[in-house]
Order: sequence, then C-alpha cells, then structure tokens
Amino acid sequence: MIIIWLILGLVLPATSGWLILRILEWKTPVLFRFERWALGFLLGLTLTVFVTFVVHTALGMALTFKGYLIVQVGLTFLLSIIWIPIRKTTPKIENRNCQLSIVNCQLFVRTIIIILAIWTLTKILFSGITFLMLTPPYLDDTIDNWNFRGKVYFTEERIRLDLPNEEGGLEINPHGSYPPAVPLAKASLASFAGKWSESLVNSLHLLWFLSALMLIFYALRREVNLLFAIIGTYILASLPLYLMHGSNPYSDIFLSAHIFAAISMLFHAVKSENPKERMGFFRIGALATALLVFTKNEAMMMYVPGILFILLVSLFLMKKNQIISLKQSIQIFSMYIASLIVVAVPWTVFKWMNDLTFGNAQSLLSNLKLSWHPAVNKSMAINTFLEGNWILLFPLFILLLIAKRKEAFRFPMLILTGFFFLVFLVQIFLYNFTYLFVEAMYQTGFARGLIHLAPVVVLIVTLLLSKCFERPESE
Amino acid sequence: MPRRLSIGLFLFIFPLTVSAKSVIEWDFRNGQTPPGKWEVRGFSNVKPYQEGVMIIADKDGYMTTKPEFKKKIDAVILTIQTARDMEAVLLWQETNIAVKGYNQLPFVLEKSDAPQVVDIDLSTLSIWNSRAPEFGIGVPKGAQVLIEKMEFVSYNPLEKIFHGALSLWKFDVYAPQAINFLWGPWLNFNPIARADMYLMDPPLGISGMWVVYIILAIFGLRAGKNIVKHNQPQAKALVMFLGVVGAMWVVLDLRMGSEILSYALTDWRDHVLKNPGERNTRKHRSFHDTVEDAIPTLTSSGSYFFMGPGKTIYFSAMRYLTYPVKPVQSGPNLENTTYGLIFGTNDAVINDAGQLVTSNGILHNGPCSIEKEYRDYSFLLKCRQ
Repeated sequence: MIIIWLILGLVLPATSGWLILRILEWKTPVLFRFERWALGFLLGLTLTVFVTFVVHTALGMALTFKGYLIVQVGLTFLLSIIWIPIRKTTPKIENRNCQLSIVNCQLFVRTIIIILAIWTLTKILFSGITFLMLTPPYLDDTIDNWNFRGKVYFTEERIRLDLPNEEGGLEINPHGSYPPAVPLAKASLASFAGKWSESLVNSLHLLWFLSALMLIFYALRREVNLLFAIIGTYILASLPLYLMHGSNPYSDIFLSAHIFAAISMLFHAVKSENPKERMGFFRIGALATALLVFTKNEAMMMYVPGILFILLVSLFLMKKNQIISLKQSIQIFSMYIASLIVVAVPWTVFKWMNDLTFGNAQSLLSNLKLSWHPAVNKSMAINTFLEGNWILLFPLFILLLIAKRKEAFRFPMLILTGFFFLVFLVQIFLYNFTYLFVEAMYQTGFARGLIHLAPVVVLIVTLLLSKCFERPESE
Repeated sequence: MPRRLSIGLFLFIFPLTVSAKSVIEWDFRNGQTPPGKWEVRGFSNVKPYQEGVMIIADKDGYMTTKPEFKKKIDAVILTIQTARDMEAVLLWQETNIAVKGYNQLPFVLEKSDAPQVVDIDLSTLSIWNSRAPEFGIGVPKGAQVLIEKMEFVSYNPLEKIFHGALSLWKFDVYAPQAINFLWGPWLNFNPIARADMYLMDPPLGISGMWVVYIILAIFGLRAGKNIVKHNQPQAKALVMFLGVVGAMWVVLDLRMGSEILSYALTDWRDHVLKNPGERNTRKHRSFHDTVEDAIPTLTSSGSYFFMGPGKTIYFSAMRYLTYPVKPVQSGPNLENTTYGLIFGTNDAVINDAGQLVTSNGILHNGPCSIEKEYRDYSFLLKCRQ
C-alpha cells in the first residue's frame, strides 16, 4: 500500500516538475530523458508544496487531501496548458538519450563496475529501507522538526507554529523558522493515504537521495564519457555520511540536490555553445535557485547569494568574451532575481508576520558577536580527513586541485570551484568567529555543510579526474 | 623481484617474532602479596587471605608497589570482587620524580558474588608509562574489595599488527551521532582495547585513516621517484597514483559500507524480526516497544505525564508519537493527567500515600498505581486527579 500512496502522492508533483522543465527548455530540449524525470520529481515536488504553502497562507485553503489535490491538479493543468502549444509548435523533440551500455568497456572494468553497482545498490536499498521504513524515528531533528512538523500539519490541516512544550502548554517552536517544504511534502503524502505512516513519509528521503545520484550521473554524462559518469556517481554514492543522510529522515540531501541542480545548470549554461540551449539551462538554473529559498534556511543565507555572485561573475566574463550581449546578461540576471522574488517574498513575509528568525532556530543576525574559536579548526580537520565520513574525497579533491590547477581555476570550471570555495570559506569564517562555532566543535552543522556541497565537490573531482586520464593531443 | 620481496618480508617479520606476548602475573591468593612490599595509604584494613588480598576501606585510600616492569605493558587484567557497585582507580607515579602525585585511571566495578575479570587497556593512554616507579590501586571509602590477581600483558609487534588490522574492521554501533559523523576505521593494537574501543568518544586508539595516508605517501614518493629518477611523464605517474587512490577508496567503501550494513542488520536482529515486547531500537533500547504498547492507554485522554532518563530526546519522541495528545513532563498541568509513562529510570517510586515521588520531589500527588510493568525500569501508571 505504501508504494501505491507514494506513487499517487508524487505523480502529479513529478508531472508538474516535468512540465515546467519542458516549458523552460522551450523548443530546444537540453535535459536527458531520465534526467528530466529526476529533476522534475525534485523541483516539481518543491514547487508544488511551495504553491500549496502560498495558497494555504494567502487564501486559507485547508491542508486536507482535497486541498493538496486541488493545488496539484490545478498546477498540472495550468502547466499542461502552457506546454501543449509549445509541444505543437516545436519540431519533433529530439529526446536526448545517452549511451548507457558498458559493453564496450574492457571485461575487467565491466566486472568491477557490475560488482560495485550491486554492492552500492545493496547498501542503499538495504540501509534505506531499514532505517526509513522498518524502524522507528530515532534522530533528534526527525522527531523535533521534519517529521514532527509534518505530522502537526497533517493532523491540524494547517501550518501551526505553536507546538506543545514540556509543561503541556503551547509555545512558538523555533523549528518553525525552517521552510516548511519537507514537512509539507510529508503531510501531503499522509493526507493522500489518510493516515500518518512513517514508512510512507520517510520513503521520500530515499527518492531524494536517488534523484541526487541521477542528477550527478547526467551532469557528468554531459561533460565526460560513460565510464567517468559512472565513477562520479559511485564516488557520491559511496560517501558514508552522504549515504547515512540519504537513508535517514534528514533534509540535507534534499538541500544538496537543489544546490547541485542550481549550480550545475549554471555550469552547463556557461559551457553551452548553442545560445538556445544556454538559455534553457539558465532558465532551469533560475528555477532551481529560486526554489532553494524554500528548502532550508542555509540556502537563503548562504547558497543563494553564492550562486548569484557566481552568476554575476559568469555573465561578466561571458559578456567580456562576447559570448552574450549586455542586454542578454541583464535579462538572465533579471530572470534569476524575478524567480527569486516569486519564492522569497511569500516566505519572507510569512516569516516576518510570524516573527520567525532568519537563522536555524536562532537568529544569526541578532547573535553576530565576533570572537575567535581556534579549536574548531581541529574538529573540522578531523571530520574532513580522519573520520570515515568522506572516505578520501577531500584529500583527492585537494590533490586534483593542485595537479590540475590550470583547469580547476579557469572559467568555466571556476563556476564550480569558485562556488565551493566561496560558500565553504564563509562557513569556515562563521564557525571560527561566531556563536555557530559549537556546530563545528560537535561536528553537527559543519558536517551538514559538507553534505550540502558534496555533489558539487564530486562533480569537480570527477571532471578533473577525467582530465588526468585524457591522452595528450600530440599522441 | 619476488626473491627480494621474500627476503625483505623475512627480515621484517623475523625480528617481530623474537619477542613473544608475555604476561606478568601477580597472584594474591594463598596469602601472597607480589611483587614485594606494598605501601598502603588512607584506608588501613588490608589483609591477605587464601582467596586474595581483601581491602575494607574505612576511608578513601590506595595501595602501591614498585613494579619494575621490564617490558612495555599494554593492558592490565584484574580478577577482583566487590560488595557494591563503585568506581576504583589504577594509579601510577610519573618517572619524573619532580612531578608530585599520581596519574589515575578510573574504572567501574560492578557488585558480584564471585571474582570477575576486568580488562583495562593502557596502550592507548598517552599518560601511561610502563616504567612508572610506583603502581597501585585506589578505592573509595566504604569499598569492600577482594583482589585475586593482577596480570600485566605485553603483546609482541606481530600480534600488534594482527590486532591492528582487526581493529580497522571493527564496527561501531548506530548511535544518534552517526548522522553527524562516523568514526570510521580506528586503530589500536590489542584485543582488550579493541573490545571496548567504541565505548569511548573518541574511540580508543588513533584514526585508521593514518594507515591509508601512510600507504598513499609511500606510493606518492614512489611516483615522485619515478618522475625524477626514471623520467616518467608526470601525467603517467599521476594516473598510476590515482589508481592506488582508487583501490584504497574501494577498500574504505567496503569498510564503511559494511559498517552501515551492520547497523541495518542489527536493526533486523533487534527490531524488525522480533515480536512486540522483545524489540530494541539501538541506543533507545526498549523505548519504542514500550511506547507502542502504552500509546492506546496514554492517548485515551488529552494529555499524560512522562518521565524519561534525563535526555529531552525521549520527551520529544513522545510528543511526536502521540501528537495531538500531549505529554507533560513538569509544571502544574502534570497534576491534571491520569495516565503516565515512566521509561528507563529508577528515580521514581510510589510512596505509602500513593504519591509518585522522584529525587526532585513529588511528581504526581496521586494516588498512583502501576498499570503495567515493562523492561528497562519502565512503567505505565494510573493516577487519580
């Protein structure tokens, strides 16, 4: 039954996502077929719960099965109406199919790929199904935040910010300052099923994890050969802490997939030589960047400004190199800002009206007293290099940045490396100099920051790896 | 090349096997007090008996001797009996006589009817020194302890390598912190350290990633040598080195993936395949099993009281699991509840007046009665308002 409710609960959001991506691609499809479905599921669900949030808060629509259904049907219908004329006027869509056969690889390589694929799938499915569907909620933020708020929305049929305290009264819960995307997605599934089922609402996390893997595969496939796309996907899937987050009801994989979607689309746009394809990537990137605001607070505070800065630099360089005109640059930047306004304004107004903070539970801005906490650096180094969280990702990352420094810090790869260093250094600064240092000392927030950036790092690592294996042109 | 390799291996392994594992045993039975004279400070009642040396501590105190170990001591095995649960200490003096006092290593002794074996690792303790001029044991006031034996264990280098390899493949359990970090491969060199390694935060020993980095450094230096001495193209040397990184990556993936799978397997063994009433969930033990059984009663009214073992996570879990019915942990509303759950704490009793009393005072005026008893000091209670 869980599978049925999961499919029924996600079919319309995923279709909406697919439709909006097709609309944004316009008459020049830029996404691979399965990539469009993976990204459609990711962005479509977030978009659907955002619209649900807006309709609920603005019009008072109850968060019932009927309410969710009206929004989902309405959104799908609306997007279909926009899509149909595009479809009719578009010459036969050349659906991008990528070569997925590994038959051409050597037997030894093929054998290793098959063994590692079986191993990786076993790990993901066995741990994911066990932790998410067969065992009770165990982790703090699941119980206090993501699932709890979802259950409250489902039970109360509205977004409720005052929650029970230890004395049996009600008080404004600090977790209310987090965007409600994940709890709303869970509540919508529960409303479809008519009951709160841990297995059902948690299964979303496994799908987000799998969509992150699919997105990196196709992002790599666009740039490198099949073997390296598989290697990159394996690298991301094999990161132990990433798998732990993918197989537990936390929302950091959800955020990391959105960040990756936003920055990888920007990267593809800049790399694209076809102006129509370029605009398709930019439009999808603008949507992903806008929806980031509605994922977690870190997005609005750190990742969105980072993406906008990188976008500005990219547009400046593209203009300088006469790839695009000034007018086009302004149009692209305006498109990003307009998309952001559409998502950020309702959410920010809701926060402001309900006196919610702009940090995670605590307001970063009101607690911004600077003092140095040098001990955090040891904690961060241990988490990054001496524990089992990341295997050898960061030593390899550093090695490749040094060995391939010319490629790594040159445009357009600079979009990825620049974004990583920009937000990572901001995080290092915050942990070293603000009250957030405890998040690094106890390896909580710091590890989450690396989870958010892991797909971007894996993309950089795999692209640089592939360059190491390129034959010199003279040969 | 194979000949050179086998000679190298022989030259490496042969010296390691020369020194074998050794155990120095101090047997206190039959009235003996090895290794010689012991100095007693604090408590006064220490007597040798047929069964061992008996300490009855009228005040905090310790007894020390001059051990003169010839080898590096990696662990101590005590055969000891105590009349009550307590914390004792091993203590030893610094070799530098200018340093006053003793280094202390606390350990827990549980009440038992017969002597029990307590294994204590010293190898991972940075302050431990086998050449300490004085070594002994300290117990608190009120202790009644019978020491039967003290064994001092030294492992030879080959054994240490073997146990080191085993420790790298020992898995942690799924603790709540695993969502923030996984300790990963951890390295220590004897079975006593390995047995308890994940009971400590951080685990006993050092990060096993150092082993990986040393291997990579060796191959990195070799790649560098090939570039400098044999004019190998840099790109080719880098590709070969990346091959080694890839191999190490797969090994680490197998290690860490197996650990995560072991979490899942443990869940199947302790929870999924167990019947209600027997299930345990990781560090929360029988909590979810208990709550699942108690929920129909607890949610029969608008609120209920709850008391857990200190951590707020249990309260949060109750709030989540029973929503919209609210748990009350403190404050005036608690008196308005009829049913309640006490989980995992022995800090609550029902007194003769029927009041539910904790070490912080009266929790519920009652009169209260036990509706159902569960595992792990847990009770479903009914109290009249």
